Amino acid sequence: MNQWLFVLLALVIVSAAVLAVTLRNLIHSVLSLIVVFLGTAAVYVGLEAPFIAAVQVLIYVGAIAILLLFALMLVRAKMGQPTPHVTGSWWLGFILASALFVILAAAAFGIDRPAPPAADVPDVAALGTDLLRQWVMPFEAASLLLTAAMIGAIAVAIELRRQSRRSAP
Amino acid sequence: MYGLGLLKGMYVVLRNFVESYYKPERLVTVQYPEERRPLPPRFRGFPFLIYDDDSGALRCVACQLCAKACPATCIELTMAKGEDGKPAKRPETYTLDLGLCMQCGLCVEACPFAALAMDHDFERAVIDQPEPLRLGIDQLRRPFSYLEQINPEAANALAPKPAKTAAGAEERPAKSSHGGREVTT
Amino acid sequence: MSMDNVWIAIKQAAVGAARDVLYPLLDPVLPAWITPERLMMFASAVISVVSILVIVPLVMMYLTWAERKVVGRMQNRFGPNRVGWFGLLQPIADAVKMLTKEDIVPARGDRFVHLMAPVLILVPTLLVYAVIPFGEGMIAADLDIGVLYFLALSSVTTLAVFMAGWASRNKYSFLGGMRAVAQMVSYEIPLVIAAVVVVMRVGSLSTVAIVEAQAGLFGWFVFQPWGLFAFLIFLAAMTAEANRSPFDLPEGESELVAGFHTEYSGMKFGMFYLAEYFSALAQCFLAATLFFGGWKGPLLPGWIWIFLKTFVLVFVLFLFRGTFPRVRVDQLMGFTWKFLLPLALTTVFVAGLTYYLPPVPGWIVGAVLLTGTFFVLMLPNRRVTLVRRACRLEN
Repeated sequence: MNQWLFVLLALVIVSAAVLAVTLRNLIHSVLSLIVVFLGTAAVYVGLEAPFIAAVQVLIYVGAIAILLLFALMLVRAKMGQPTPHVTGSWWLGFILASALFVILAAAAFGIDRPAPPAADVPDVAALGTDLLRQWVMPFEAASLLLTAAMIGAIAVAIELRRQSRRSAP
Repeated sequence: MYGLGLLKGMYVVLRNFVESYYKPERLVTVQYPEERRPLPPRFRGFPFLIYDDDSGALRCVACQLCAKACPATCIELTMAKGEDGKPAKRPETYTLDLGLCMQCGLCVEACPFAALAMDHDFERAVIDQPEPLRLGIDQLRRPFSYLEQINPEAANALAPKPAKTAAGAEERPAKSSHGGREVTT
Repeated sequence: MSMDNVWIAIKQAAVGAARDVLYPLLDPVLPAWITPERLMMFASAVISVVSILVIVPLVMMYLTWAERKVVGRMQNRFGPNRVGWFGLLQPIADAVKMLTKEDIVPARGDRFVHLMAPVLILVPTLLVYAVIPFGEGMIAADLDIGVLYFLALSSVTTLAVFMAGWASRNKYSFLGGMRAVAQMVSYEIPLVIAAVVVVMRVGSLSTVAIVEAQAGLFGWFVFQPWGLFAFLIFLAAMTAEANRSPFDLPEGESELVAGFHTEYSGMKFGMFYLAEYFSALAQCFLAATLFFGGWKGPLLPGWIWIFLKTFVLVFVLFLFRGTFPRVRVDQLMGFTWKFLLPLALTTVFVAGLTYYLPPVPGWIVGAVLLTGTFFVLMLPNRRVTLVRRACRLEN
């Protein structure tokens, strides 16, 4: 992928990510996160993985971001109140973040990785075949997890409805 | 069968759509300024004063009953003084305030001399200088033949007073005590 | 030279011009990374983009005119007929009106989000036109993941609707926005599954491949039982995705003032209006491509066929608008989760099953299974929810 394009996208993604964690207004912070998602999708397009890019947009922007916004609405966080950026235990956060950075840098630059396979444009059909043949067990496990989550959500919602009906005359 | 209601509904609407191109009853819109729907004869616009076609004299005797009957108090009138100073049976000024009139028709019902009737005029909007809202006698006079034209039913009930000629005793048609609209036919 | 090839001829001429005329002309001033091939690609892309950006808004403007006339006739009245002959200048009058209105932002509303929402709703709905084949070889970008690209970008509009509802700082807009988001998210699932049925049978996500697979007179997917049901599900879900009647609860004029776009005026409202119609038109184009054979058809050139099919579908949308009363929000949710989704999953199953059966028995088995499922799914959806709740409280 063209280096300058990558640099541009990386700048966009990183600045949006920084905004996402530093903005006071939570809605603006989620919107910056959406920019991060879209930027990542653009990086995937540049890496010649259009399927992953489209799925990134569909899932992250189309579903997860909306989930985040719904969660914000339901929790009714005080949007206008200024929250302190720097809390008392900032040194713990600094230590943990530095440790994580060291580990990731070591993994990215240190260890010898095998060269990536020949530039074979990944086929969507090949992806599907692999997913349902070689990786079918993780696929089924993921679908089980999703089913469990859905059942849990419905159980919580029914419980709430029963409670509210009991409390209401 | 389930779902059939939806399809039936869509079929009815589709038929409406297609027939609106060739059946007049499916397209009931009137293109307003160019075509006008004929108004029903008992339509209540603003009231007007009736005068006899032949003599040009108003029927109104300035008895003030219409002014008293009006719920919006929009009628003001004064009686004229004759040559000898005695009150003459005709109005000197008759003012109808269009801003107050709500076209209820109570003045017409109250008048014992059948001197008022409701007009069919409702297009009084203007875009430039607003016309004066208080109408005087000159703007309110209309001939009896005009009433025959717009509301023949009422015209039959309020037959004109016979002209006072020396020759020929015309029959006075029977008039009800109210002179109002007790038209039945 | 038939009309079919005019666009391709223009494109080839432009590409040739880029290579033979433009590049030598600009050679001295161009940096090294602009090669002739890249310039040709750029010229080709420019032709595609310009043609879409010129034709699609024009079609959409006259679609709004057609909607008002058609729905008017369905309601026993003329549509607009004062502004030009037959009201043909009405869309232009509307555009002028929207451009000249004052732009009002609510005083305590979020200015940035208020500005971004119309932008975010309009851009994806225009981007999806890149993967629709308007004729043989007449597609802006023949992506391998065409249908997925379309569906992914349609899901971005949901976010914009939420942003609009939030930024207006108005409880009715906010409620309208939340309802709209719930509706759009719920109806996306049957929409995607209905599209997946077709993709599964064709074996490719590319819209060009999907059209090519529908060869022959009865080769359109709508003539197969799974195709017919997938089309009906797609039609219902598409109407709800575009927030059109009878699912226009979020923006209904008599509910919630105007829902999420209450506080918008002028061109920002114009963008919401445009986006709704662009989205409806694009989804009709996609339905024509997935289920009705796209540009395939005898005698007439391809682009006429696809426009004809799309306009028939758009007329069906107008018919929905003129016929059905607005659906209540709980009925709306019940319809998708309890009816459309199980039906969609069954359609996927039947489509897969009939792949392995021989054609004629497969058709019969598929038709029987799907009609059976349709009637079985009517059973839990019969009664109105409120009646049931009242009955239960009495006991």
